[in-house]
Amino acid sequence: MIRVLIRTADFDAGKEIALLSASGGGAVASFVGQVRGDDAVALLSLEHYPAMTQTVLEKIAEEAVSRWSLRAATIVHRVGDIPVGAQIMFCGAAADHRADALAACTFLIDRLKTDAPFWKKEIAADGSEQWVEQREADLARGESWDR
Amino acid sequence: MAQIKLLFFGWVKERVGTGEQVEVVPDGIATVGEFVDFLMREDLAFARLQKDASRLRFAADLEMVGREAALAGVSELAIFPPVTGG
Repeated sequence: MIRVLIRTADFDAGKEIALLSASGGGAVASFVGQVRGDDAVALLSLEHYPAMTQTVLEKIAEEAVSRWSLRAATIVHRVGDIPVGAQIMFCGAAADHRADALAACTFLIDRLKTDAPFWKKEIAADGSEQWVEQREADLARGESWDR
Repeated sequence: MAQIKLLFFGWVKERVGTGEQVEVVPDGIATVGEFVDFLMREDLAFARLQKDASRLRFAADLEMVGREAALAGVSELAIFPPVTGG
């Protein structure tokens, strides 16, 4: 089962894990991304391409399901203004065994970072703004999974 | 001459000064890259993208494409910076 959510409100990571667990496998792996308090960053403002984002995330999850033996895959991503320390995104995979769940979970976040149309802007406490640059390391990790 | 809807995101949107606009693709322009080069040459707002032209990314009708992608039949072209989700 694939579950993809894009939302402004916070999410309950525990509930997402419980939903993955309910799929009945022996292994659930998950990842939660949070807003880092770098420098004077007060919040991140996340923009996306609404017509495209859901489809891209579903494709990434479907690819995970086709590559590994999964019972379920979930991606939750927030948009809008998100303060330091708050959750930005969740991904998780449920499988019969840990190797599939762990690899699929890594794939979900790596591919999301290179393929999903989100853009982050850092907003400091003094109101100054800066767009976040794509990291070479993220690009390399995303491309390390064969297309 | 075909009409095309352009969408902008991230710093591309800020520099162009709008989130979307409709443009006409002139005859003789065949690819995404040729069209974007044309806009940067002919339109002052798009000229502000010139110094970062190599960092522009594109989606044609909701599919990520490169500069070499054909423009024929495309109704919506999004222009944006490299993505930074996650």
